[in-house]
Amino acid sequence: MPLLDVENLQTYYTARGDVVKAVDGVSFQLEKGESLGIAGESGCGKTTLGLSLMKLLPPNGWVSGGKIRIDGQDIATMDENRFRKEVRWRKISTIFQGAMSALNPVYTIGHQLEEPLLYHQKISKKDAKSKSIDVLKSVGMDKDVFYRYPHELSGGMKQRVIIAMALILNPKIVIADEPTTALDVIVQAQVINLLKKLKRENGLSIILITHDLGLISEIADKVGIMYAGRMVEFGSLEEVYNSPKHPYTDKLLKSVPRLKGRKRKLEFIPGTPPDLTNPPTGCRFHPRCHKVMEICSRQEPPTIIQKTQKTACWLYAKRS
Amino acid sequence: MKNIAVVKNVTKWFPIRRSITDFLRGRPLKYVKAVDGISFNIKDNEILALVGESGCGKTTMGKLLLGSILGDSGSISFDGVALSGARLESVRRQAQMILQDPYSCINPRFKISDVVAEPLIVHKVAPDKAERLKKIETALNEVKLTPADDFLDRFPHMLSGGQKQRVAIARALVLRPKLIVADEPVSMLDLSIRAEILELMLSLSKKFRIAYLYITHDLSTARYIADRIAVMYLGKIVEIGTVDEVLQRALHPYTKALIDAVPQPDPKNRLREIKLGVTGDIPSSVNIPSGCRFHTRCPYSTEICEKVEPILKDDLRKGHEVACHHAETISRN
Repeated sequence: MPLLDVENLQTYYTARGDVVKAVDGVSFQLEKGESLGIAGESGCGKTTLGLSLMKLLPPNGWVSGGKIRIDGQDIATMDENRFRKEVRWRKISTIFQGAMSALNPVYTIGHQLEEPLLYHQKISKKDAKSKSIDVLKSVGMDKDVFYRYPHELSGGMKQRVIIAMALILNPKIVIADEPTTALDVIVQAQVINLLKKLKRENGLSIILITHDLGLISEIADKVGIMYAGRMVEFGSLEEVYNSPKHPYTDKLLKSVPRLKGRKRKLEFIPGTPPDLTNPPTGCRFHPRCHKVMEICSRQEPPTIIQKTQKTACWLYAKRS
Repeated sequence: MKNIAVVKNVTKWFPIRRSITDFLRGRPLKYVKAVDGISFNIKDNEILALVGESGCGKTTMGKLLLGSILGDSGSISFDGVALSGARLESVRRQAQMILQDPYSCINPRFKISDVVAEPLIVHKVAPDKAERLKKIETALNEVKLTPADDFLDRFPHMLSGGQKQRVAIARALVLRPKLIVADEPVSMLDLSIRAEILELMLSLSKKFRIAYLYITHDLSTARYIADRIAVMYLGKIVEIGTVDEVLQRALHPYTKALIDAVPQPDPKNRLREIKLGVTGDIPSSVNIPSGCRFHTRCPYSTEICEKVEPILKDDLRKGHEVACHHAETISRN
């Protein structure tokens, strides 16, 4: 049984009377210990996907359809009270985008680390403190950080605290949404190494949500490429990066400037991502696709599976 | 080739407000030494990338070059003319800026035509309205916001991030400057659009013979667009040379650390740890380490590094300057 099984997830928002289909039929599976990268540009729905998995959608958002199974249990329909008690932060937790501002400035780090422990477990304050210090050490921080306030820490340190908070109840899955965006290059590398260590030593499954294709290749075993609310390609890291099938994936990989290797001319994709209140007919990428065919504007492509690689593209459909 | 800008030993220190107790005790003022003795040239029509992590002083250097802020010491000359309070207006016509955030650097209450007209009006170029309109349309066409007519009357909120950035570039171009200082111009744009803007900037540079100071923390983008690259650390340049020289044959330990730290899209990456020779965090620019300011984090650091600040020089490889006591050892690794 997979650790995480997402089946045809649909998450919508209402905005100014319109319905934005932010995630519109996304399916994938994650096995225990596997890490997943969700890549895409702004507006593709990747952050909404992360929020859906944590049931942390804003008031104007809701899961309209589909299933989210964690260890076989469907959480999409679970009520909030039960989810908060049993699942959120215990089985699945998250590191938000811009997490450094997620720390409460008037409480010490120690207080904020103990909070989930004291809420979820019947343990003494003394034990909560020692466990908090343990988790700080596991993210490479000194125990005196326990007594500090957020403003006394650097950006990289705050990010480590956020990671510590996400780990404190030993969840199996951690969702990291742009965990290194605001960090300097070298600090970013330190945080990446920390995530690798947690993966290796704790068997943690990390779902990394980012537009940075280099970052994904540091952590992910599997990759899903999202565009306009759909998952257009899914497969192992090697498959997707070395032999991308979907034209969008192909162009996206070619649009990343490389630091090493031969200098190539960068490709770009003309146009902009679509308005999700009124997405294009048929394949949502067709207006910008360099391999567009007649059928692409008429009908949505099916997801075609070739061994372990899945692509939603008419190019790979068998002629019937 | 002529130099469009010559920077010599420029410093800019920002004083920090003292607390009452410090003041009463007569403790000396502390400074954020944002730019602490920098020298470099930008050749005519050259693209020089200024790279470094946050706090290294690169944005401050960009502002100094434009005369937005004036340095404390040293000299900056632009097209042979020294920058000083009196001559700023003529410099500003020749040197323009493009900033990081396309959302906040364009006045949301201006129509696009007004945005691009502003530099012309301020510098009293093309006082005739029709002539001005023509220049605006030309600028919009050059940045491929076509047909220009479509965009003239729009407001910024009607444009995408990439389109807004093009407007910022059009505004920078309309005076036909000789130098553009671009500070992280693509970092807030989507991946697939970045390439388009970078290509646009490159082609405009060639077409109109514009030099760029391209400020960024992203080494990969710097490699793509620049001819030469200067690496900054805590207010000083630690290495400078052609892009190939600095990135393929780096001599400074900090440059090497930066290059190793950048994640590239390669599936083999997840099978190994990122090797980081560097330890610790960037020291504060208020308390700069003695000797070589990088010595506190450097794997090659020895006694001389703590005591003596190394000089930026190209003794080892002509045209490739580095400030490190152990550059030779590093070159052999």
